Amino acid sequence: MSRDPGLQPERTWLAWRRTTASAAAVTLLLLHSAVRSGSDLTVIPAATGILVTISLALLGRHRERHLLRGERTPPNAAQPLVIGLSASLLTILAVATLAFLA
Amino acid sequence: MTAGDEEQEPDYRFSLANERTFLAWLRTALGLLAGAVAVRQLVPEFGVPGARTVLALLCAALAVVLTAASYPRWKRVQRAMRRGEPLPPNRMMLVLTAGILVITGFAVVLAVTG
Repeated sequence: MSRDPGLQPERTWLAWRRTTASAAAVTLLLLHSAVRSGSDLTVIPAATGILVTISLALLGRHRERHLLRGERTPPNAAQPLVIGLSASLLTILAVATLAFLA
Repeated sequence: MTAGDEEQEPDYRFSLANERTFLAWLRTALGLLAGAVAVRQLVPEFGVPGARTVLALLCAALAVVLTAASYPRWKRVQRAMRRGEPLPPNRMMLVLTAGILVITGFAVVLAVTG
């Protein structure tokens, strides 16, 4: 066994936090655009960003709670679901931003 | 696991490493999205009308491709690890490199021609 089994969950936990923070930063940029733009439609990507960031925070929290339970904790059964949902949500955000830019 | 006899859940360290790599791809896509919005909002219009929009769209389109490909990639790696097979070739890296190259090339041309 390696010497750092406990650091694996911690690094993964931090990766979830960084990803959520990145989504929050993009959402702030989208909100900035929505406020500056005259068009009502710019509210759509901004609102999508808020919803996606909150969802990602909740999904990440679910993973974190599992990861921090013990240093030998294996990935739980929900792992594929959480990862699939996160990917889907961020794809929706990317498509919403793409549509808004066009 | 519902997997067959020859399949075995990988060591959780590798599974978590795969999860972190997946999250890193999401962050790469988020960085491109931020770039797309920033180009549209902060960069003054180039001499060619609409060129700024095209640049922003290229960034956002690459972000869409990466987010859409991230889950299938995670799943393929997970399956290869369960079966003890070599990791599948990563086409996402080629797509990202080519995409960044096109975007950078386009931005350089715009910056030079004004």
